[in-house]
Amino acid sequence: MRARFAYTLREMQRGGYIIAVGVAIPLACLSSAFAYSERVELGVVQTTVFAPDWIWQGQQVNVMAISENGGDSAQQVALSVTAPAEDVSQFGLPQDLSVGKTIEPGARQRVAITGIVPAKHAPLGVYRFGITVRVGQDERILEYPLKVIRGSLVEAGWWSVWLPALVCLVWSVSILVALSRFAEKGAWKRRGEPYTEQAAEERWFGDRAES
Amino acid sequence: MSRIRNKLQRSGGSGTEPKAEDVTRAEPWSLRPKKLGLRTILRIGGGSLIAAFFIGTGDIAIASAMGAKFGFSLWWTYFVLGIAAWALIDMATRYYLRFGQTPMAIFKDVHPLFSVYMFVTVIVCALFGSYSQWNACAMVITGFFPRVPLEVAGGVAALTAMLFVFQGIFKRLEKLFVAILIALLVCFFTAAVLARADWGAACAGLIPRAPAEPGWRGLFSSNAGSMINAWLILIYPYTLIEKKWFSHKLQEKVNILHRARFDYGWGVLAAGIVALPIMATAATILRPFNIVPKSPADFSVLLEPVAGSWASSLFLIGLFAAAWTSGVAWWLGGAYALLDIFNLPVRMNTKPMRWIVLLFFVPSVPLLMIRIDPMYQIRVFAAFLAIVFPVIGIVLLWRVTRKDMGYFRWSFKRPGTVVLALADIFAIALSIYVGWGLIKRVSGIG
Repeated sequence: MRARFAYTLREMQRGGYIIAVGVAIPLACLSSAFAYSERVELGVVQTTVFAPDWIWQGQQVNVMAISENGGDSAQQVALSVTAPAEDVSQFGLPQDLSVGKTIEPGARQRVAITGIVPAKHAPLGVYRFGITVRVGQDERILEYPLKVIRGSLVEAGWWSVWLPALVCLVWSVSILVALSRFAEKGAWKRRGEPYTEQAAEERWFGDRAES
Repeated sequence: MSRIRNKLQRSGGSGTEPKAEDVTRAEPWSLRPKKLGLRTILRIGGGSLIAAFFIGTGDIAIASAMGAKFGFSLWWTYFVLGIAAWALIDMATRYYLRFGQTPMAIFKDVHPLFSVYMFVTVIVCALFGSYSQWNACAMVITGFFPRVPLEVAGGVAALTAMLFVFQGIFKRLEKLFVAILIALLVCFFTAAVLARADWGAACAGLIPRAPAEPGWRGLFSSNAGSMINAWLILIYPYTLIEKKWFSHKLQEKVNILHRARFDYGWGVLAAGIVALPIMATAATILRPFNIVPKSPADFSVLLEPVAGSWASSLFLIGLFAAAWTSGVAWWLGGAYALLDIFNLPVRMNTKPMRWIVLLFFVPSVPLLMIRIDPMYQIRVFAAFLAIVFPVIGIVLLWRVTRKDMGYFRWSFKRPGTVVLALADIFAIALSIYVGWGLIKRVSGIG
């Protein structure tokens, strides 16, 4: 059977099935990625809170909530985050750890609190934050355990380029040694023989050549 | 008589089959290629490899940062930079079709010392570029399976890539890449649709203009580095060698070039198309809160409340697919270039190719231990690449403007060929502009 190098969408069916299965399995079997999520119902307002359940040292945590007002009057919804009292110093926190919005009847609104950053040298482990959802006078406090795992070895900026580049540069010696075993002496200085081998037919025209 | 011959040649007729020496004698760009059928135009095998280079962590990180900061207003950059990328790939392809010579021969023609420059650049860029991709794959895997250490997850992604390349079947590579390209397009667009992106605003992003907000130049430089990176320019002729798309007949050379242009045109276009849903998603879910995504977690957590857990998972699967194929493409591009530097057979199924890939794989895991945020790092790295490509661009320009390019040399006799020459000049000018701007920023001049 002759090798072919161009494919139409129809010809991709088999590969497409494999990919589709690869996509479907994680979708069917896996729970939310990265996510801590809790649902709270306070009166006529349903609120779902989303946040990462783990984070690198030095990376920002974003907490988001989405509220839906099922009632027939506007509702005031507020979200606030409380850092663990004994570990406050391990986090960079925004000035305001609370946010509020008025939600019209039947509407959905998003609110987010961003800028919570575990220090670059924060001890690894689980930190227990509190997330308070308030609707009018009702409130619910959720426990939000955030796992802090090891972050980057280098500071952000040019070092994050130079260090891996340096590793690659050092490693290039091994590649040089390996390729020297296969190549002729001084091959790097002169150009090689041209590649003039031709396909048996006009394959670049695909179906036309084959018909 | 000669007029009749020219007419026949222009119509692509076989009455006067051009001979090999016609490449040097024929009037530049005087032949018409055979028309391509729609089916042939839609075949995207070789273009999928080009697309894999474009659509990796870099493309996603840059598109998401653009979307989060500027909405759709920088979408045009993909197409403006795409023209430059297309022109540079075209230069390397023209050179190959003219002489049957590989891209590295261009550099050896200038001075053998360029081989040293290219050797170092190839290794650093191929390892670094692929490392960013494994890192992104690892982030996605650990997002789904938090108990799996990042280094293990990235190592597994790299290992599967290595085993895949070890098979040495180029045909299979193209096939898989086309399937993944389609899958990731579906994933990203579905995620964006579920996020209820404002598609109407996207069209306005096609009009080139500078956003009023500051900070867009840095993203533009990074995008230039991502879109016009060194191996992207050079890899296409290697795919032609693998497929043996070459002919001694001038008319067939013209036909191959015509077909190839559609191929990498698709690849370039794919980057812009994939950027759209990513920008749309970022503009919808991140921009309202001034969040610039720094990791896949940002997307996952913020996408889920807006579009549901399916959208979040689809986005992450798309990210994994893009990063994995891009990692393979970085390795493959680097390995081809190294084989070329040492005049070893440019073939995927050779022993030296497997050695190179193995040696690319070995440092992947230790590099993962550095744990640099992949989305941040690739933006910096892409900007770094912008310094490298002017050198490659200038050498390419020098080569394709020489008289011995024969039929494929520059000509200013027809509007079409003037446009081609202008595209070449535009690509080089843009690369110098971006590269110089970046050097100034890094060194603190101006």
